[in-house]
Amino acid sequence: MTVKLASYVLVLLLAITLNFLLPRLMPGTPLRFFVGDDVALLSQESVRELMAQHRLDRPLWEQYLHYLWQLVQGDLGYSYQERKPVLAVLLERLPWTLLLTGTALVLSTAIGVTMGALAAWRHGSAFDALVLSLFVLLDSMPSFWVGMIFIAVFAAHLGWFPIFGAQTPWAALTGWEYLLDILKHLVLPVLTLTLTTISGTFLVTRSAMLGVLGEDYIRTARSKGLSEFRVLYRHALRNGMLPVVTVFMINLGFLVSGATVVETVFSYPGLGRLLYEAVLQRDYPLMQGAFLLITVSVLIANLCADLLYSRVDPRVRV
Amino acid sequence: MKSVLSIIGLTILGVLGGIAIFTPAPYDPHERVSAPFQPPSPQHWLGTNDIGQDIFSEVVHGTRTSLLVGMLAAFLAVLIGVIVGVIAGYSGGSVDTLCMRAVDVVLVVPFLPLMIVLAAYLGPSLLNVILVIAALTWARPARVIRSQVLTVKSLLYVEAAHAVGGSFWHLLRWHIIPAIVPLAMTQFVTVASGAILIESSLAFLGLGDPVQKSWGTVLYYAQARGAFLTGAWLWWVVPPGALITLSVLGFALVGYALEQRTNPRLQYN
Amino acid sequence: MRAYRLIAFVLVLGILVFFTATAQAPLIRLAIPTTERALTPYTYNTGYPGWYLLMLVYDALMVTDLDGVPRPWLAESVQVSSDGTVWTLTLRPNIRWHDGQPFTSADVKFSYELYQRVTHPRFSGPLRGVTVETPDARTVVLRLSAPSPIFDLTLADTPIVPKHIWEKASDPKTFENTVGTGPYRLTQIVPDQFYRLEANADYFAGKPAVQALILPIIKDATATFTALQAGQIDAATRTLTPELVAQFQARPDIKVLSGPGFVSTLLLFNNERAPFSDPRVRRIIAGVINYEELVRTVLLGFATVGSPGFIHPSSPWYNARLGGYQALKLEQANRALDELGYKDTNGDGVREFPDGKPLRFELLTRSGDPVRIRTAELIAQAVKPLGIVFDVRSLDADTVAQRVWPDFDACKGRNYDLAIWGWSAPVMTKADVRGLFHSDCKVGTINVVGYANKTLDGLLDRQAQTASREERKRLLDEIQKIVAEDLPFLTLFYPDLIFAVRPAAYDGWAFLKGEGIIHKLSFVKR
Repeated sequence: MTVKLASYVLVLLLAITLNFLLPRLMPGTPLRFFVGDDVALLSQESVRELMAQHRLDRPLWEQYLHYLWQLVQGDLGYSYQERKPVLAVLLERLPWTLLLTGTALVLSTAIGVTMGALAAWRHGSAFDALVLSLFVLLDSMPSFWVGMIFIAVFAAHLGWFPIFGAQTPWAALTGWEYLLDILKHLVLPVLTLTLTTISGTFLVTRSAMLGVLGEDYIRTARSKGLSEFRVLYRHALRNGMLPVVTVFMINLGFLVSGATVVETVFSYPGLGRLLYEAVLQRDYPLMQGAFLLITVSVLIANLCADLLYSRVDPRVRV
Repeated sequence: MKSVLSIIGLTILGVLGGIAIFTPAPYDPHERVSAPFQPPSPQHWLGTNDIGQDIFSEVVHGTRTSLLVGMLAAFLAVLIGVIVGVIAGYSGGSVDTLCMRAVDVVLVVPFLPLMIVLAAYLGPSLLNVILVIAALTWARPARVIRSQVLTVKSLLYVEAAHAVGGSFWHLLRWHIIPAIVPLAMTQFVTVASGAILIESSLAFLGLGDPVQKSWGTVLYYAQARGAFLTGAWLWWVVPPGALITLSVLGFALVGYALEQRTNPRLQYN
Repeated sequence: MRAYRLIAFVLVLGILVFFTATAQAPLIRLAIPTTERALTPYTYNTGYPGWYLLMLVYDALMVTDLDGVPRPWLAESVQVSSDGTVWTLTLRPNIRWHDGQPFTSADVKFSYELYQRVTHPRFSGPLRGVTVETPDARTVVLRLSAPSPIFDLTLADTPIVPKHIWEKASDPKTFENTVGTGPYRLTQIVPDQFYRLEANADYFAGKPAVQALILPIIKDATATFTALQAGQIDAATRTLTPELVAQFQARPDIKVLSGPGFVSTLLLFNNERAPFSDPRVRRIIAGVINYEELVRTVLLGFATVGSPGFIHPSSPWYNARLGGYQALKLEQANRALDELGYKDTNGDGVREFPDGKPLRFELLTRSGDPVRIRTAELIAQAVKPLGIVFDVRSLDADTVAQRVWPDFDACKGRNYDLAIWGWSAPVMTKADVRGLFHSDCKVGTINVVGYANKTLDGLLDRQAQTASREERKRLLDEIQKIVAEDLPFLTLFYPDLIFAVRPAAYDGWAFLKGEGIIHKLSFVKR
């Protein structure tokens, strides 16, 4: 366990260092982004003043130490673009991402597990073949493309759903209307994300179930004359769940980051899109903060998956 | 069932490969051949793009770029994976630990975010896209190859071939390579299908090379020049996306079939 | 009887519709592309539309009219001494801040000194060396260290903040109070979602024409215009791309407004590198580009063809006798290149320098801007028959900026052959030729091509310090003539500004020449 933990710490440290270095190795200065287009009107004194203000004129190691020290204090710095503490910006976006990816994860797991179990149960049947091909096909589609087509058909042409964002910004709705509004904005992105991520859970469940269904105790259960349904859900699924849980845990880790492309297509104000914008705008502190948050959540999820694994299946020693 | 899937996969890849090699395009995709933003017509089956280039020809030529990126990236990734996997598996000890920690790092690092950061840093060019994809996808092949090498090693101990005095190269040539080639092929196909998706996503986010004709860049321009609002999405957005889906599907099906064949644990289904 | 009733009903309805149409529009939803943070003078984010939105909340001493000429606004009169260094302004009486406090000359003095004390990227520079005196509550006397013919633009550019609030701000750069004198008060900000502005009913120039402005943030261009089509917004600060114009014009519920834009698209030559250090080579390249075709293909005709002297033909400073670029026939151009010693000695279709190096150059353009990438591609095609190769390299916007204009400091040199570039509208509005062309990099702060012409330097200095507008115009004419001759860079075109709005929501938009419809005068009486 300690070895495993140590390696996670190592990963974290590496990520932090990478996190610090990558943005700084990028070409260009972030000056334009705290000045705006008016950079053309800037005098040289102002340029220097601004660089100094953001510590961009210091040697790299000094910036690094400063960065680490701030991190230790729980300070993620100040976003150039938003002119707000990075933590505040991240926390503003986090709920939206969790809502979007969380809903999609729950849906894709529910559907994936059910369909996976059924497909394994009816292994070799036309149903199995159909569902399998469908999910492999869905898995092959670029998520942004699916999203683009959904927008074109269901939002732009049919007008059933809104086109962008997470809520109607100016409506100032309350109560049920507000919830309904959020729900309406959620449908297309969640659908896109669910459809394009479902196959992982499905395939894992299917193959795990196929393994379990071949085992002796299932044959015994069947021969005892228990109902098919009971055998499937009480015996097989429970025992075949381990890999499924692992996949779920790992997906959980990517909750925070997993939807960059879909968020971009739908202009959804989540963390993935925030990171993308921060990269385009050279907002170093924001980039670092978002990237760190994403890394940490992935690490924690992996750690949980490991712990769970060792608890559920005592043969696995962590 | 398995064979049907792999036949479908191989057929798709064969057709796309043929298109990539012979590029049966009616026009030079870089040539302006008509007025911009034309709808489909007998001369231009998929209409023309924002500066009057033939979209059908762009998509045909895009096949070459997209497949090339996918396969080169996958080749590079598997090559790195094989080297790391073999070294780690063969050496064991601290070298193994070091390699596997590196694998852990790459597996755990959030993939697309890092990709965006890297692509932005390296700048938009096809070569960079290939390098970035390879740099972030070699870990899984490495892990698979390593465990196969470990299996081979333990089998050899039983056979005591090691004691007979087989050198590293001997081992590699006669025992390790035959054991890992099928696995490497499976990995290659899997990574390739992922790489095509990634290339198109990067291009779509504007992080690819917009001067090259690939499916992703065609979609980038379609999105950037308002194809959604004008109804042009039917001929400008749907075809390249469908081809991406097809090629990914082709690789995935072949990979699936290969995996069934090479992974002994999966033999029973 | 029933017929009468019907007629009466229709009449009443008609009157009602008439009145609601002419009276104040209740609310419009105007999409903006990105956050403007707290929308204070120190926190607004973008030059366009940020500054224009800021000026809906704040006022300046002057305002530019629809032709771009400044006229008094918070001030009711502006007098300039004959040497151009003393500007005396009388403020309008009875103006109040949004919180009811009276606006006085002390606020002006406080604001100008604030910008001098706490560096602001836009407002500080033009106020350097200006002293502010306030003989009484309605009089402001500004003393300049040197005459400036465009100081009235500064007066129209600089927002005045209330002294009684801002003097308590410990850090003006992050202070978040938006009490102004402007036609709108900022009543709500939901980060990353929207801003809400409510009309200031007591505005000195009359009640604003729209009661409430909602500014939703929509970052994506496609999403913006889809929303406009679907009726989810009424207007957008984002300009419509040419390919969408026909479709939007065809709709009865949408109106398309367009006019000249002051943003320029340029082809930069590195004037310090051969062969582009030679004006004759630059003239040859300029001669084989078909500017009309470029505009027709890339922007479907929605742009003004560039003037070789940089200044937009719609600008009051434009030299109308200039004419366009000198077109060259392909044979002429090829012969001229032969004469200059650039010959294709090895017969590969590409000319070489006398030392054998091929005439092959990188043409940088930023990714993410399809119009510029396409422009670069067309220019590369245009010079190909000359035996010159331009390799179009599309790079991240900041990478291009870093190679063309390292750290935004012209003194740090440059590292490129050719680039597609552009300057924002204020460069044109101010006709900042001194910044563009002066050979001293401390003065020519945006001379990113490294152009040097000593004769021109003198003229540039003189036009910047003359007191009279007429004298400046004469000097600018001469400057444009020299630039058009030397061609340190090529002004390719100025894209038109095209806006799509829903007239049913509001139809009182006014087009400010070169800058568009998003500005104060679209909402208050002119």
